[in-house]
Amino acid sequence: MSRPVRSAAILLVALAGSAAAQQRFTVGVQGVYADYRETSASLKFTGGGVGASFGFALHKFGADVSFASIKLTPVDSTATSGQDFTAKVFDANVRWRVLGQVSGEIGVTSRKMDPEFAAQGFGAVRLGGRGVVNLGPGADLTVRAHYLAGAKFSGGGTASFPIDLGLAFSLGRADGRLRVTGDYEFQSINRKTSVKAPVQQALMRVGASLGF
Amino acid sequence: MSRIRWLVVLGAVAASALGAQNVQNATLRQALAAYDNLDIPRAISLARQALSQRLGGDEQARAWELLGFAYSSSDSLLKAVDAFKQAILIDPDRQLDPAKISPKITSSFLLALAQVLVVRQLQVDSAGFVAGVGQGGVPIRFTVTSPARVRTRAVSGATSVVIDSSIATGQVNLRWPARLANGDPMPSGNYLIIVDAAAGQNTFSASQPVRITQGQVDTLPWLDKMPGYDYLPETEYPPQSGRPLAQALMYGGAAIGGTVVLRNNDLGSGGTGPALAVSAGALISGFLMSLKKPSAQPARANILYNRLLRDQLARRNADIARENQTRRQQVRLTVVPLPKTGGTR
Repeated sequence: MSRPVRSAAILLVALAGSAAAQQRFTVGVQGVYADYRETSASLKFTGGGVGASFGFALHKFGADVSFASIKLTPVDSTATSGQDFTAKVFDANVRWRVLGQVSGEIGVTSRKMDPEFAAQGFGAVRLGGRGVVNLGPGADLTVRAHYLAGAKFSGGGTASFPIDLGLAFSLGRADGRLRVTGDYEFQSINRKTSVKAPVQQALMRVGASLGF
Repeated sequence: MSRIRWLVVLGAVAASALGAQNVQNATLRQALAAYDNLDIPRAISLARQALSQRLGGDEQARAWELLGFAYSSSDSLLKAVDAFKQAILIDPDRQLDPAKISPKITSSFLLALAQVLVVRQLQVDSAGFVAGVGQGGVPIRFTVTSPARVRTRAVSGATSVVIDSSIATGQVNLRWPARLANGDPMPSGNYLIIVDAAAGQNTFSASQPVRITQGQVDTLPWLDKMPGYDYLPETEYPPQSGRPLAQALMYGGAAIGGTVVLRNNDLGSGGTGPALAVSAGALISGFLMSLKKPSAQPARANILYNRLLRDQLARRNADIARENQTRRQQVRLTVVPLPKTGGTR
């Protein structure tokens, strides 16, 4: 092994060792409840499902991925256009802590419906930020807000200023190894086709996470 | 009673103070007894007779001293001074007690002292000191009875170190640092402190044996804390407060308010259930944290104080290490005078 390669290997091992001491992984499972509405008050769906999440943090860097499968049913069973469907929600974000506990964040969100045209499928790029409030040893609050850039709908159309808001809490061991988690996400999308066709989703995830 | 008789009585008292009990020589004992009985001519005769016999040094000195007393009592001052001179030359440390002896006899004795060259009352005090550091030294005192070149030496076998050489008379006080000519401390061993006095043809020597012992210098102990200063706790617990509950209330309210503000009226009311549920969870978290003892926070001022203290301690220990390094190279000398085994001439 040449000297530069050996030096690089030593440096990598040293960096990996240093990073391993500070990195943190979290894995969570959740029960999910959703309230989904689109176009008009008559197209309102609620339902539940399961979700999973995976998070990673190292120094100022953080990332998370979450997935949920929710079976939604129309609230008004008399609505002619309403039918049961399953929404598969996928989110992925990366963030960088810029000031104190405030991070700038970028990510993607995607919601696919099954059957495909039972409701609007949706995809967008998230641009926003989040702040973490430490309530005490073993309890945190997270607030977040994103602009949903480049929104795409399975039925076409555009959105003028789609945004989502979020609030999450976690409560458990101070070392973060086991926490009860709750997460609320609200999306408000002023979709327009030839007419107004707004989409709105409120999503609640309650579950537990393991940190290591 | 005549004046002379009083003088004789006082002299007799002095002679009895000297005591005849330890005298071996019978003639000298009789001379002392005669003096006690105020029979001065007989005392002089017997003392002279004793001196012609074989006497030890101490008894010789006594015999001459008795003659000095007797001559003083019989107003033969020159003879008295000569007798005292002989006594002083034999026993230079001999002293008369002015409280018990008549002034006439004392003045004869002092006159004799001034006419001989002797080194009297050579004393070396016990001392312990670090060689070559500060004012440490061995105190040496003696009295030279008349002006002379006085040379003080420490001698052991072939080693001879000059302590002092000067013209002196009267009380002489010296402080000997106990070092060789090259500056090294004196090696352990028995030494003789010799004082040589010389004035013309007259010379006199007095000596005092001493033992010099070399030892290690005590080192300073390490400090694990600065005396009088204690470390302060580097963490502190902030007082319990309702701040976590207030924060949860504020952010939960903001989530609900944001939902209400942003929801689309075309899609109907309601839909705040999830926001309420998660906000409730956040409120519970905040409430529990308000009840819980707050986590320890770093106390910056104390951390800085402790850092300063540790720096000071490290600096002090570095000084101690340097001092100990120096001390390990030093030698502690202990000087103890030994009993004399003669040594005057």
